[in-house]
Amino acid sequence: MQLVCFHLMPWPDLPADFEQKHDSAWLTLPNTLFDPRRGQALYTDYLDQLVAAERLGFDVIGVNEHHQNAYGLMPSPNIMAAALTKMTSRVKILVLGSALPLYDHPLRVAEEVAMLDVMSGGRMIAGMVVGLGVEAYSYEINPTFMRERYREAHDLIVRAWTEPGPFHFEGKHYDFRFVNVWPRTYQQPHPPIWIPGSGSIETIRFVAERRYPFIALPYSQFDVMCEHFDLLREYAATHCGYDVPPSQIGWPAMIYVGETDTSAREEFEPHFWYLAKKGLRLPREYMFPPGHTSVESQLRPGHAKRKFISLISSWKEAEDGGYAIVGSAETVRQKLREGIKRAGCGIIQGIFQVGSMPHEMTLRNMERFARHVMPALREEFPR
Amino acid sequence: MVEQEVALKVRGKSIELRQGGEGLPLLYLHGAGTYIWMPVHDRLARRRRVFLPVHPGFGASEGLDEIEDIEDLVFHTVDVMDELGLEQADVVGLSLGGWLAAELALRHPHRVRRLVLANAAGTRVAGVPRGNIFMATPAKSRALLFHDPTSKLAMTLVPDAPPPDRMETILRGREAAARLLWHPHVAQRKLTSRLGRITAPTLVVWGADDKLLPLAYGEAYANGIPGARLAVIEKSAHLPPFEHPERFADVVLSFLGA
Repeated sequence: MQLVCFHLMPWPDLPADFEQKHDSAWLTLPNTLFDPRRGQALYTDYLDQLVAAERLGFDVIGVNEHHQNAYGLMPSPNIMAAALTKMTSRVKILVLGSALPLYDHPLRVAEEVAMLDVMSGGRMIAGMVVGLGVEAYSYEINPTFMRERYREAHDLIVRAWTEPGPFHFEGKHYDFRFVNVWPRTYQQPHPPIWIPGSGSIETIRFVAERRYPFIALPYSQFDVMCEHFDLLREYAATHCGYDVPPSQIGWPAMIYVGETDTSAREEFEPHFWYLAKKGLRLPREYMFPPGHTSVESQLRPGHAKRKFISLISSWKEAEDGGYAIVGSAETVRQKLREGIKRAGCGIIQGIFQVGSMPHEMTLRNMERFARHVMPALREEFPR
Repeated sequence: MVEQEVALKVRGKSIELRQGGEGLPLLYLHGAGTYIWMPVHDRLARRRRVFLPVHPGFGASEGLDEIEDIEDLVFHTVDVMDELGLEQADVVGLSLGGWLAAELALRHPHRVRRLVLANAAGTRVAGVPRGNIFMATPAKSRALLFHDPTSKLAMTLVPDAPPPDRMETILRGREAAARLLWHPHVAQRKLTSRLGRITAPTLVVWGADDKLLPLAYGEAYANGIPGARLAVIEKSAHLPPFEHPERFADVVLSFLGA
């Protein structure tokens, strides 16, 4: 089992009347709501939490990329990763990012990840994501080209890491006459590539064919995520001729370990709703611009079954749907055990700081997890 | 009534085409939303042979994978004219179709006898914001597109929830629209600076209350194209041919001449 401590670095101070005044925490939310001094303190706390994760025994720490929003303050996750290379020494560093289609110069991704890999002595895991629909607006990218750009940028980056330069890359969206990345990656042939996805058919095929670890997106029902894992296993077995091992399946889970089930819920719940109702407040039209998700995927039965976290309204629904794993250490151990077996996963991408959760509460959560849950998982699900 | 619905073969791709009426050929280039035969086409068909080809990606027309931008759609439209044997036609375009008509007239002047641009996309006017149809809910879309957003016409053309059996076609049409209209700022900048090169006699028709492309865009077309005239349709927004088919057809036919 690979245990990831993943961070979204949210803006935690959206006002109480935010929902009345704004229809989105993304794209159009005025950036005057951001206070830079508070931002500095947050970045410090959030980085400290990831550094603590190394001390607590996590295998991987992870950062995330999103643009023009209050949900996550990392438009450039590589900047966070750079800081972390010098604040840690053992743990692997996952960038999940990079949102390849957003860039007119994806060679920059190849260069920066190579730099990070050298700086960290080969500890990088390179994520490659399509980017959310709303980010087609943020970066003024035609959403009907995002999938094509994603694949082409991926090919360019992998070739830039693996083929001796210089060479000419000639694509539809990208054409670089001199691909010759200095420095080369520390890990050879290249850092591991992990792919998060919302379960679109395109992404399932893409990861199955390349045997990349697939990380589900965290904000739908656990059952829906598992269906995507099933789809991946089925596709790989049928079309690619192999059985997907657990190490290729990643379950993203918000995790909160309290002293008791009752206190855990009391402590966690306000921050859960902050995330669901404020940070993820995002109109449908922003989320699904035409072409971002293929018509085929949109029409698939099951697409309608998914209930995005911002649409749920009760804690019971959150708990029953498996949107978060919350309780005493014993409860969390039990829920994770069952979930891991159902998901067939070998990666847990834990999110321990959620929404407006303060620093000390987050650290206590991580410490309880490390002390009372992690050892049992290590024992039951060895690597 | 539409006389004929056919599937045209254009460079190997099947293209949906509606036609009707008698007279000189009139090529109607549809916008991003509605590509069916409407009452306005009946009115135009009283005096003209009206051809309504459905652009690639919309309806049953194939070939969106070969359309990257408006220039590709111009090439395709020339192919359609060739296939129909139209050496020259009057060209009427609405919204996206208006933009296409302007680009066609600019690049292939001998193919366009007279040009009518109705609430045409394709240009930019500094300081006058356009609406964003892709960010709009159905209710907001109706408010952008129609003088009366609560009318039966508005509810029919932009329903709150599309009928399930039409869902796939609608999703594909939205994709085709976004392919061309997401934010083609370079093409818009270039067309704006090239309008003076259009030689076809041109009528610009604009709904007075268009909130998607405000009247300033119509004025820019009319001012930019040499000799162009602007006809403003009152109590109309982005879709004058559908909101006021009779008035629209009368204005257009009188410009085109008998």
